[in-house]
Amino acid sequence: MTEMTINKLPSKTWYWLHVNETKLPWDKEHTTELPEETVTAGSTEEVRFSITGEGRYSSKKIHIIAPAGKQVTVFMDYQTEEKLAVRTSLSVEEHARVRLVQLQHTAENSLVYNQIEGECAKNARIELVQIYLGKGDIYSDTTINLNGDASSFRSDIGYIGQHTHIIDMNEVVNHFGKHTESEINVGGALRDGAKKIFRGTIDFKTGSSDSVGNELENVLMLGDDVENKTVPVILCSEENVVGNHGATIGELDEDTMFYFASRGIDKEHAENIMARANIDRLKGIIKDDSFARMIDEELGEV
Amino acid sequence: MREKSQVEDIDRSIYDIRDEEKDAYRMKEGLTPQIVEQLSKEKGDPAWMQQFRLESLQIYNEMPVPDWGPSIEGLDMDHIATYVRPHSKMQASWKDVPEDIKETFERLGIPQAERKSLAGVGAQYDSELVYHNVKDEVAAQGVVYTDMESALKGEYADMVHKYFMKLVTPHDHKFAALHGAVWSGGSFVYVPKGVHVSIPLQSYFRLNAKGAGQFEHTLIIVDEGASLHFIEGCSAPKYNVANLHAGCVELFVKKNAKLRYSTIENWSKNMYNLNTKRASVEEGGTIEWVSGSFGSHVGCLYPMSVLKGEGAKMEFTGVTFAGHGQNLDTGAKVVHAAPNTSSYMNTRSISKDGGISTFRSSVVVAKNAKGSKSAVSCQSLMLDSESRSDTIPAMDIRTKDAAVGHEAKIGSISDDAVFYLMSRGMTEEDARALLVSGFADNVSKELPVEYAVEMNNLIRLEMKGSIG
Repeated sequence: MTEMTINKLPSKTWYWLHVNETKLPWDKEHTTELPEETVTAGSTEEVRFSITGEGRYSSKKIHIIAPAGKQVTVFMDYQTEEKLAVRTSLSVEEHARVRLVQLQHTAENSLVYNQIEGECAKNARIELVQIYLGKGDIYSDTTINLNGDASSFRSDIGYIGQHTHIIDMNEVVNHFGKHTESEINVGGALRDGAKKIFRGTIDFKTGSSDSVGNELENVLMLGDDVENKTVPVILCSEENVVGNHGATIGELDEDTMFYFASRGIDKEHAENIMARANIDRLKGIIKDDSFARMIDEELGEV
Repeated sequence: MREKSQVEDIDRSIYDIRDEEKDAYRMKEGLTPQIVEQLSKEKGDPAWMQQFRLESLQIYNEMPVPDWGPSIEGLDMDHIATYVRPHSKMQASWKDVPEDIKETFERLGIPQAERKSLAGVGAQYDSELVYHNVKDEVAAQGVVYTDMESALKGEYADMVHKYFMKLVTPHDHKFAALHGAVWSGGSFVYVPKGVHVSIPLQSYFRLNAKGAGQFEHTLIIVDEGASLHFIEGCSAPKYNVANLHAGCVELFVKKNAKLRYSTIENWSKNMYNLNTKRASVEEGGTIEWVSGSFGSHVGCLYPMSVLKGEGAKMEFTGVTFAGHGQNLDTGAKVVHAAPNTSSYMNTRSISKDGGISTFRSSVVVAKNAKGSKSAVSCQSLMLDSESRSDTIPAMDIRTKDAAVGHEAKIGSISDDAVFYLMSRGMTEEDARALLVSGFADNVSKELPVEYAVEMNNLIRLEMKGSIG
């Protein structure tokens, strides 16, 4: 058994917080390498992958290439009952656009390591939607490089953690080009004894003038034994940029509770509605009926 | 062509005047058990303190240098003298302080401030205090304000033994261990139950010796229902070799007590400022930190508050100004360890001329801290692209029954705000100057007026250039 060091924070902080990185035990010797896949935009507008894995440990690589001016939407859903690592690379050329939609609805005691690396050329755009509803643990590690001027990235993440699930996320956006834009929206709910960590880094490199980066996180804490860690980092070596971060963590506030109570909805139902509301929001962004059905099926078990 | 608004460096002429070194004693450079034993002997430590120093040295030698934060590669402990005793014993009257040392503190305005607005003053020169005095009416209330050495050996020896490095232990980090081994000087304050000290006490730390370290220890106990405002100032002239400051501040705020701890840090730009500050706050108590960080080559300073009693409160207000050759890593830490506790951090940082400013924070809400609230707001202003500004906050929340909020913003001077002010008749230069000076208002508003004026003088603006 070896150990993978994943989800590294680009700028370390106090070790006692246990947020600088994650050590993930992984049996490399007994990992089944699943066939690599390459998706090229232009030849198709939409691709779907359903990944279940093989054996105790399995690993898969997917390459998504968007030549200049082309667009593609890729749907990926993870249904493994074991340990699965999926590495997705995105190469998005000038004026191209890639939408990547991922759903984790895995079995109890499973584990998914979901790594994404993306390169964005001039005027290119990457849109990422990730929904984590599974019963197993999820480790998510995303790095996007906005290399070209006016390139952009938008990320929407929704999750519901329950039982003793671990949701461990790291998202890094490097702004290299001028007039680049990034937006990260993360929202979810934690129940029972679920543990979640979100590290979000917006890094304005020298030369990325007139760029904007925004990050927003909302965490609804619903269980007596939940644990939430949030590390929103902004790194900046360029003068003329704007970086913002906001986070709210806690229960439903009194105003919201009053609103529901005035409509005859009790606290438990109100919490359930709000926990699902963020996932419903993402369904609206995805705009895909078959994926929405999969999400609804999974929500039915939550 | 429009030129950028120019923010002047801090005027350091007062602080940079060096006195001729007339040390009564200077420990040889380096850090060995023999040196620590010699230091302990020179200071006439009780046996437990000598043992504590040696144990701390062992911990120091076993701990790694942190691999995060600003680089401290330029700091070589083999070339730091850990103890330099000035040619004066501690005096209770300025007229008894040697002329050259007195002149230094006169230039810094300490005796004048004492006369006008302070309840007591401690003045440390290199490793020892040269002056300590408290006003009679404050002493008559039972307030104890004395140097640490006197407290360690006198009637408060048991109290010092009970509290000394119990909040910041030598195991905390490498430079806390170093402090435990070679500490010298600093102040001891005890405010009895129910006593309100209406005007502040101040300790001022001056490091004149080249290639030396200053390791003062400040221990303050504010007993139940009492209140105090304590001000700490520090400065040093600039040398071409590294100096080190690894002080330690331990604050004990008892039930329903209140302590405000204000710091204007203005060390020279060859200083490694690796200071540790921590407060323990009991039920209904309040700790307020006001912190201005302007000096040092490298600074790592994150005052920590442990809210251990129900309803305890913490507020941190800070400003950091990092100019050429400076890497200032500042912020705060809070642990909510009891129900219904609250914390608020409000910081501003300015980076210019290649300066690096980092805001670093942690908010921990323990499982039992139900009903607790925390809010963090940090804003950073970048004045050029040679500089750097980072924010690295972290939150660890372990109860659902807490409300935690965080907001951070990094940017340059807003063109919209400049336009708004210009539409009301201001010139562009004046508008930009106003916006930058107003940026640090959060701290200056919290300081006593004479310190606020000094701080505003430190951040001067000069606008130049044509518009177009």
